[in-house]
Amino acid sequence: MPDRPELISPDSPSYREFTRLYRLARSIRPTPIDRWNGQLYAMNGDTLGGFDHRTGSIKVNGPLVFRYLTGRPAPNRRRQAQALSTVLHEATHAGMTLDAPAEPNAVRTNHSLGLTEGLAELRAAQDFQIFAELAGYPGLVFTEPQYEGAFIATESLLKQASGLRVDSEQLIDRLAQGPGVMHFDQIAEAVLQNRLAEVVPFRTTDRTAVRAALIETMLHPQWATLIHRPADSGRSVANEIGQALNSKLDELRRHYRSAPRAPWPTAPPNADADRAPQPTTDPPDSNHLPPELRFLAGVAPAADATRRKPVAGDGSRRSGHLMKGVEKRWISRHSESSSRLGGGC
Amino acid sequence: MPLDIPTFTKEFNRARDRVHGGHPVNLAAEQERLRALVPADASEHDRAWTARVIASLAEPPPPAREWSELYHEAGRIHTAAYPVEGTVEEQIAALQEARRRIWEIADRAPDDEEADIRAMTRALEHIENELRDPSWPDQDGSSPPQRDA
Repeated sequence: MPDRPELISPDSPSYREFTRLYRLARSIRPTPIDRWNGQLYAMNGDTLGGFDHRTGSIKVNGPLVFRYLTGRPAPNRRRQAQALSTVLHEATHAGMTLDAPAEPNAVRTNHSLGLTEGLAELRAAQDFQIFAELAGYPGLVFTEPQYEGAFIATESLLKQASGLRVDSEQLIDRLAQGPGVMHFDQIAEAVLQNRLAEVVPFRTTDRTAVRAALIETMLHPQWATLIHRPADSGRSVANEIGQALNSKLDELRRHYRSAPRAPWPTAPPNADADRAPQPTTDPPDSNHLPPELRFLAGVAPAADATRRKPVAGDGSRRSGHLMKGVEKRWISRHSESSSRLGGGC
Repeated sequence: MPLDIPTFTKEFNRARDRVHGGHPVNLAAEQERLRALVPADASEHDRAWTARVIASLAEPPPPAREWSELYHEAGRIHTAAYPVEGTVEEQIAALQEARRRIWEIADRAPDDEEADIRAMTRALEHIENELRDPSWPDQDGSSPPQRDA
């Protein structure tokens, strides 16, 4: 059994180097919020790192990550690259909120867990070279993505959604802002802008409905377990989504060409949005606090979050049915940690 | 004027995707565009690292890691073990057998691959845990939503 995570002293060299790298990671792709509460834990085992969405703390593997965050090249370049990319991955999680219960197109199920992990790893891959050079670890190469199934599926989905109006860099930027449950909606918006802009009217009702229809085609059941699946599964999921998306795009074009004033008839994935209260499990943004107070922010979970019962869906639609059993479970599981699995050493 | 790191990062990533994208590009022009994003009075550190990454565009992309046949053998067992049919007990038994075989392969693997091969069993353990304690409990007595089709 792994030992209990150990709180790292802010005075230690490990803490200072991690903090320096964390700030650089944020400077490369800034987001409006910073949910890291300043608490940093060292752990053992084979998980590289994790961000606790409930408290805002970060834990990082001692032998696999901290050991290589020395500020200078290490003999094992491969492990050092893995350690650096872990900082990027966790910084991505900490830079966004997770939940958005009042948003009709929020996907509050394990599907979003898979996509969010895929996005964090894709961002790590995309920004790695700049990060390593900027941080003083020159020449490191990112060649081994974690969560391969989710990584490949996310990379492919973003390629399909990218285009002249919204390219992949802009899309990664948008997704990195969060919330995590809105990632499918943000990708759907890119698809809408890149591939349907000429046919869908610029009306909120139409655009929300079209995005909901696109989201439905992207909710492959394997998203929920892709973080544990190999690269082939990710490719397979992406291919199936690609076929479904193309077919849906054809349907949407036909509809709006023949009936441009009639919104596409669809139901949003979050049927409970209009009944949802505002609390979330996200810790408060600690960006506005002075450094010494960041240790106090987000330590306790939002009081209401642990008591709130999920609002049951009506069970009449696929997504609603998913919500019925999944919402509380997903929020509670995911709030424990977004972990970055490693390959051991 | 300080270097605008987010802008430089995005433009560098775009240039790298174009250069390594398999289509003919004007490498010198791409590099010149990036150099123009670095202010003349940027810090020495910023000028040094941006020069290195701009120069790196002329190099081929790093090759993916090459693995031994033992790693690929473990990977095939790993992929085939994902439960698609059978009772829960049969699926769990298949996962446990796959984990046992992968551990055996890891015992014979080179030092720098052993841990990566063993790590494959962790994913199978997660799937097994999901089968024992599903994230989508059948709360109302009806069939659970489609999974892992």
